[in-house]
Amino acid sequence: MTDWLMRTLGLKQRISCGYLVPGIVTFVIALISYGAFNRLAVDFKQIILFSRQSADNMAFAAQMAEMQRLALIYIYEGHESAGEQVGEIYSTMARNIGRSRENLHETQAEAVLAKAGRHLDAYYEAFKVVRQQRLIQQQLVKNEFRVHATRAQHLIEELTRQEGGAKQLECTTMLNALLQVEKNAYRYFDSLDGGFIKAASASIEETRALAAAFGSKEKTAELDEVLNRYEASFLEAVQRTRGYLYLTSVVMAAQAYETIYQSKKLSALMLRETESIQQNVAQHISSRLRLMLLWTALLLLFIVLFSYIITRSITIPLRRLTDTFRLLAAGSAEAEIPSYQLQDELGDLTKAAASFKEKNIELRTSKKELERSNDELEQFVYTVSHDLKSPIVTSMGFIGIIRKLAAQGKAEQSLGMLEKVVKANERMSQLINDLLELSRVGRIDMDKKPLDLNGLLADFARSQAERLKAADFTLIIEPGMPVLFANESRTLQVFENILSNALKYVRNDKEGRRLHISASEDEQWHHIRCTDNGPGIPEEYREKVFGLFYRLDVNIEGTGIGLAVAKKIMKFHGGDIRAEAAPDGGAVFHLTFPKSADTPRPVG
Amino acid sequence: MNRRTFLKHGTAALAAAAFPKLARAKSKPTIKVVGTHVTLLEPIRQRAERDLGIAIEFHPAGDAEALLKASTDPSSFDLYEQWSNSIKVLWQAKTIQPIDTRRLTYWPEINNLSKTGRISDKARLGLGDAPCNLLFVQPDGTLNCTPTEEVSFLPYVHNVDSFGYNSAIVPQGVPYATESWAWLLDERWHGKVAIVNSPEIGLFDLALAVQAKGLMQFKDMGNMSREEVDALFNILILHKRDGHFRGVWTSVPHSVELMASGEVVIQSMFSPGVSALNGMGIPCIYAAPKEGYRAWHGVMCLSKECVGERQEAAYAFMNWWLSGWPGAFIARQGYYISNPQRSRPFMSKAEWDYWYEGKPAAEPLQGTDGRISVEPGSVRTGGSYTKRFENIAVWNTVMDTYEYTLTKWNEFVLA
Repeated sequence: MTDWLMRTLGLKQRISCGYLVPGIVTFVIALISYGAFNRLAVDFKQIILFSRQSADNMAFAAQMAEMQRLALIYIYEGHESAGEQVGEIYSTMARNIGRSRENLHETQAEAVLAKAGRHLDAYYEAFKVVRQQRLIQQQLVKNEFRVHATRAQHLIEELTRQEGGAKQLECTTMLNALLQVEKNAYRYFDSLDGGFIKAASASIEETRALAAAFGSKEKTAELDEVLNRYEASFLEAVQRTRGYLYLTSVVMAAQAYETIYQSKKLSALMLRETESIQQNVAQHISSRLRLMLLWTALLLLFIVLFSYIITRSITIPLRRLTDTFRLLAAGSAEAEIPSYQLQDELGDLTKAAASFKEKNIELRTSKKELERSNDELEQFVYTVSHDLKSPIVTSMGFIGIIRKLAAQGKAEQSLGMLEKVVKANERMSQLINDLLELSRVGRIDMDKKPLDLNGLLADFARSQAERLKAADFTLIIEPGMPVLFANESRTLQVFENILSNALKYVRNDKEGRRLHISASEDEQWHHIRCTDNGPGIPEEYREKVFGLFYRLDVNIEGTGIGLAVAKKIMKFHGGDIRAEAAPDGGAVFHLTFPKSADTPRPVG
Repeated sequence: MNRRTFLKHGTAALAAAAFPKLARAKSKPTIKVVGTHVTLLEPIRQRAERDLGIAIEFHPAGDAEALLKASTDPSSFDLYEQWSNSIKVLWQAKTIQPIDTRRLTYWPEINNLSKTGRISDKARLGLGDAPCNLLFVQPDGTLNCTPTEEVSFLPYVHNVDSFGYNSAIVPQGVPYATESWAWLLDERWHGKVAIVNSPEIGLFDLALAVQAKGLMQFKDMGNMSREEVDALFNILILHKRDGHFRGVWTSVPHSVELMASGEVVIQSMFSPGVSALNGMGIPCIYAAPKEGYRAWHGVMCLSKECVGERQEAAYAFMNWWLSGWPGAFIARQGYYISNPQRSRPFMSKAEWDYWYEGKPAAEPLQGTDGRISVEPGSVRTGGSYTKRFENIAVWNTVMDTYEYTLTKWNEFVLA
C-alpha cells in the first residue's frame, strides 16, 4: 500500500489525502448517523400518524353509530334536520377517509380504509334512496291517501243524502268501514304490524261490498274507482314503507356495520403496526447504535491505518534521502540513490541527490587524476632530474678530466675531451627541447578542425620522401583514410614520431623496412593502425614505451620523449595510442580517434 | 336426429312449434323483464330473442330494489323474476295479474314440488311459504295450494341453500347425518361466522341454527310470532355482542371474499359462492344439514299492466323458459328447473347424472362460462335433485311479522 501510494500519488496529493480521507470518513460517519436517526424519525412520524389515525378511527366508529342513530330518527320521526345531519356526518367522514388514505398511501391500512370508504359510500347511497322513498311515502300518506279517503267519504255522504233515510244504517256502516281503512292504515304506519295491512284491505273490501248494494250505479262506480285508488295509494305507501325499512334495517345497517368493522379492523391493524413499529424502533435504536459504534470503530481504525500508511509514504522516502544526503555530504560516491519516480518535491530531492552523487564521483575521479598527475609529476621530476643529471655528470666528469689534463699540460688531450662535453650538453639541450614540446601539447597550437587524413598523410609522405629514400624505408598509406576532427600539426606530429621510431628501430633486410598505415572504424571510433615490419615490441614493454625517457634500446639515439608526446596528443583528442603486436612480428601503433568530435579528454 | 343435430336444429323447431303466434307476428314486440342477476343473464336474453323473434330488455337489480319497483310500479315491467317469498308482497300490492295455465305449453310437465310442495310422497313439505301455497289463485283472490287454472307465478328455477364451511379448518361432517345448522353457533368458530344479509333468508338460517343448537323451539318457524322473533333475536344479539359473528354478507362475491380472506370459516352460502371458492382452491363444502335445507323457488310474474301483444310475448317467453335449453343452461350453475325432463336432451349424460342424479361426474363439466367447473369424480353434496328436495326444513318466506323482523334485524346487524 505504501509503495503503491509512493508510486501513484505525489507528495502534495498524499498530504492532501491525509486531510481529505479523515474528512470523508467523518462525513460518512455523519451520513450513517443521519441515516440511522432519519429512519428513527420516519418511524416516529409513522407512530404519530398511526396514533392520530387511531384517534380518527375511534371518532369514525362513533360518527358511524351517530349517523345510523340519526338515520333511524329521520326514518321513524321524519325529522328533516336528522336527515340533513346524516349527510353532514357522511361528508365529514368521507373527507377524513380521503385525507387518511393519502397519509396511508399504498399500505395495508389504506386498503382497509378504502374498503371502509366503499361501505360508507354504499351506506349513504342507500340513505339517499331511503329519503326518496320516505318522501314518496309521506306524499302518499299525507296527501294522496287523505284525498282519496276524503273523496270516498264525500261520495258515501252523497249516497246517504240520495238514499234519504232508507239506507241510513248501511251508509253509516259503510262510512265506519271507510274510517276503519284509515284507522288501520295509520295503525300500520305507526306500529309497522303487517296485520293492519290485511285489516285495512278487508275494510276497503267491506266498503266496496256495501257500496255495491246501493242503487245509484254512477255514484257507486265512482266510489269503487276512488276506493281502488285509495287502496292502491295505501298499498304503495306500504311498499314504500317496507322498501325504506328494508334499506335502513338491512342494507344500511349492514353497510354501517361493515364500515365500523373495517374501522375497528383498521384500529387493530394500526395498533399492531404501532406496536410493531415501537418494537422496531427499540430494535433499531440498539442495532443502529451498535452499527454506528462498529462503523465508527472501523472507520477510525481505517483512519489510523491510513494515517500510518500516508506518514510512511512521506517519511520513508525522506528518511532514505536523508541517509543518502548524509553519505553524499561525507563525500561518498557509492551512496545509493533511492528509487523515486514521481515528479514532486521528493522527486526533485532525489534528482538533487543523484546530481550530488555525480559530483562526488567526478570529484573522486578528479582527485584520482590529480593524485595520478602528482605521481606522474614526481616520476617526471625524478626522471627528468635523473636524465638531465646524466649529461651534467658526464660533462662534469669530462671537465674534471680536462682540468687534470690541463693541470698536467696535456692541452691537446683536454681539447679532445672538450668535444665530449659539448655532446653531453647538446643531448641535455635536446632533452630540454623535447620536454618543452611535451609541455606544449594541450596548451599551444591545439585548435581542432575537420581534418582529411588522406591529404595530411599524402603531404606527410611527400615531405618525408627524401629522408625515407635516404634510409631505404617504405611508407605505405592506404587510401580511404577518414576525416577527423583534430589539430592538424599535432596529428602530423604523432605520425612523425611513429615514423621516426620506425626509422630508428626497424631492421628487416629480407623484406626491406616499411611502415604501413591503414584505417578502419566502428560505431564510436576511427582506428588508424601504423604497422611496421621490425622486431616488434615485447609485450611487457608495450605500455612502458609510452613512458617519459623510456627507450627500448639505449644504444639507439633518441630522447625517449616522442611516444610520450604522441600519447599526450592522442589523449588530448579524446583518443588513445596503444602498442600491439603485428601478425608477422612487427609492431603496431594503434591510434583511436573518437567519432564524436567534442569528447576531449583531460591531458595528463 | 342425434343429440348434436337436435341441439343445433331442434330448438328452432321447438320454438316455431311452441310459439306459432309469435312466428307469424309482423311486428316485433318488446318486453321488459325486471329481476335478479341469477336468471337475467345475457346468454339467456340473446337466445330467447333469437328463438322467439321478440325484443327483450333485462333490468337486473338487487332483491330489495327489484321488489320495490315491482310492488309500486306495474308499468315498470312486463315480467318479474324473483323468489317465491316476494309473491305475498306483489299479490298484496296488486301489481301482478294471474297467469292462465292453459296458455302455458309445458304446465302439465311441471313437477309436484311446485304444484304440491312435495317432490315425492316421502318428502317433507317444509315450513314457511312452500311455493304451492302461493301458487294457485282462488276465486276469492287469495292464494293457496288448491289447484285452479290460474296461478300467481310461473314456477321455474329453484334450489336449496344451506351453509358452507372451510373443511381445512372445520372438520368435514357427514351429509344429513352430522352436518347441522347448529354448527353456525359452534363456539369453536367464534368470530368467524357470517350470515346472508336478508331477513327473509338469513333469519331462517339463524332460526334453524338456534333450534338445532337447542336454544329455543318455534311453534311455526315459517311464521314466527313477535314473541318468537324477540326471543330469537335476544339469543342472536347476545351472540353478536359476544363477537360470535363476523358479520353479514351482502353479495355472493362478498361471501367469497370473507371465506377466502380467512375472516370466516363457516357461513350461509349460495351455490355459486361455493363453486367460486372451490375454484380458488379453498375446500369449501356445501353442507347437507340433517335438519334439512332452506329452499327457495324462483317465480316469474306477469305485470298487471302487461296486455295485448306484449302479453303474448310474455307468455311466449315464459313457455320458452320451460322449453328445455334454459333449464339445461341454468343447471350448469347448479339450479333446477320445474320440468327437468324437458331439459334432459339438452344436457350430456354426465351433466344430467351429476346435476340431477347426484352421481359422480364422469367427465369434466363446464359451467355456463365455458370453463371447467366440475372435475371428474366430484359428487354434488346432498345427492340427487329428489334427495335434496325431500329434505326441506323451511322455504324462504315473508312472514306476517316481516316489518318487525326488519327492525330486529337492524338491531342484530349493528349489535
